[in-house]
Amino acid sequence: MSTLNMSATPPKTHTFDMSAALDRMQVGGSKDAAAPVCIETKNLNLYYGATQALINVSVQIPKRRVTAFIGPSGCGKSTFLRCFNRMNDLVENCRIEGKVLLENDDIYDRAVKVALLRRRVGMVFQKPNPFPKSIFENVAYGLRIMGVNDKKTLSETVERALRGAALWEEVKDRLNSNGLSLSGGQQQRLVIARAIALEPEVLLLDEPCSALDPIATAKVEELLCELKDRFTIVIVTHNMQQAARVSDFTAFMHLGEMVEFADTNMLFTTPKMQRTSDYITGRFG
Amino acid sequence: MIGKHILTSFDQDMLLLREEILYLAGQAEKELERAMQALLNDDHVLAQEVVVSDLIADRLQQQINQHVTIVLARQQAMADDLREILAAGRIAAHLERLADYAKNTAKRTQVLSKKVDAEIGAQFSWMSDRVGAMLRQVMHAYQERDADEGNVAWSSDIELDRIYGKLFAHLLELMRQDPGSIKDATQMLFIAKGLERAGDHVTDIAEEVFWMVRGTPMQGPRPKVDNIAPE
Repeated sequence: MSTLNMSATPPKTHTFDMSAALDRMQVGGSKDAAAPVCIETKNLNLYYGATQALINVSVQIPKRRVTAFIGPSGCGKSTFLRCFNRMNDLVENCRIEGKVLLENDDIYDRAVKVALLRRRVGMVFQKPNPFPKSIFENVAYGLRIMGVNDKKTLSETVERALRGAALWEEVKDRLNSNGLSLSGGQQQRLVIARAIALEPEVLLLDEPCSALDPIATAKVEELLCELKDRFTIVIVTHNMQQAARVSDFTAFMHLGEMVEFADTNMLFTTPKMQRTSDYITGRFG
Repeated sequence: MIGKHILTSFDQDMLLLREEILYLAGQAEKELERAMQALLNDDHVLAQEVVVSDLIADRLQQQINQHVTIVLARQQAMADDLREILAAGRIAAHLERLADYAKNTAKRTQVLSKKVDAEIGAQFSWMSDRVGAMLRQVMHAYQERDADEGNVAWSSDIELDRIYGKLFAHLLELMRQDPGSIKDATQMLFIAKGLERAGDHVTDIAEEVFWMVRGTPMQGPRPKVDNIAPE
């Protein structure tokens, strides 16, 4: 039988120092409760013709955090996201009441130039949509539109954006290849690089991983966690697990209403509303 | 060596959980030591400190349980990661019980009428050292994901059982010879039993480590001494 040689046992465990670990811990509540607000909506109602798609939605999206919108199909989460850069302006018969404030600026004010707003609020869609141009030109596109043509500035910005999108190492030797030659996951990160090249304040993502395989999805999720140090990120996802993995805050929407908005730890472990609980536990949806 | 996960937050959550478990183990070990020191030195002030400090282990266990719940909800862990998270919750419960035994020893110390004599004290000291050494070994096995090292602590509990049996018999004899000692000796019997049970909890942790690493339960009965009906 083996016996314990006490002189050979490991050192005392209580010399272990975990003060830093304890400091990082956010169990039981968020340290983010007082995070500054980036986007605020006040009593937002949105109608497509006679159909009301958003009902009195008031919410505060924290700055430099990832906020996820979840809810069943047709609940209004994509419609809500599109309010933040006025994409719904392009929809016929769409009417909006209430306020959307970006850093306290009313983005539906008549004086607001929509093109400038969309520079401040970038967007990434479900299906990767690189332009049929080189990888370099895809990322440089927004800068060129703004009139930047200096080669050095463009090169530096493209590299910074591709690094920021965790794609640089994979494409640095083929920047002149067509963006469409990349894999789906790489294309989506290329599109994110194109968006962040303009240094927006907010990055909106509408189902950014639904066309990607699990590994490509994980890479985009990791990227979002890295980018939140620099950008406010709002993501719409059908995938509840994705919201749980990547977001700091989660909003559950149902039938055009914001049912619950909470710290992600809390929403997925101790939701306050019965409808939220029923949805995240698979009772409906 | 565990490979790096694509999601940094996943690795951070798992690392934090491990750190929390090791911290709680350290807390339990420290309180067991201090309780023994209080007993051997008849130090009621230190004993009271140990009684009060039990709250720390309680809070740590609650924290780990909450963290386990959050990690389960957020990370969708699979395979050995999943087992590690589940094992963490159960290991925390055993560690909290160890701290409870320290508190129990401290409370009983406070009602003893006099300092324990040298011979009995040496037996207690031996048992306490053995529990501490087993705990350190099993937590090292946890840290290193070494099922075999955990196994050593698991099988060495028998030594603790043997000394407990001897101490039990000694205390019974003491009571038989000197009925005036019954009050103190009864408290000491419970202290001894607590140390013996603490050893059992450590072996339970070893079983959790084995399951966490290998994915199968430890095979075969654990070597034991039957102190209730010795052959």
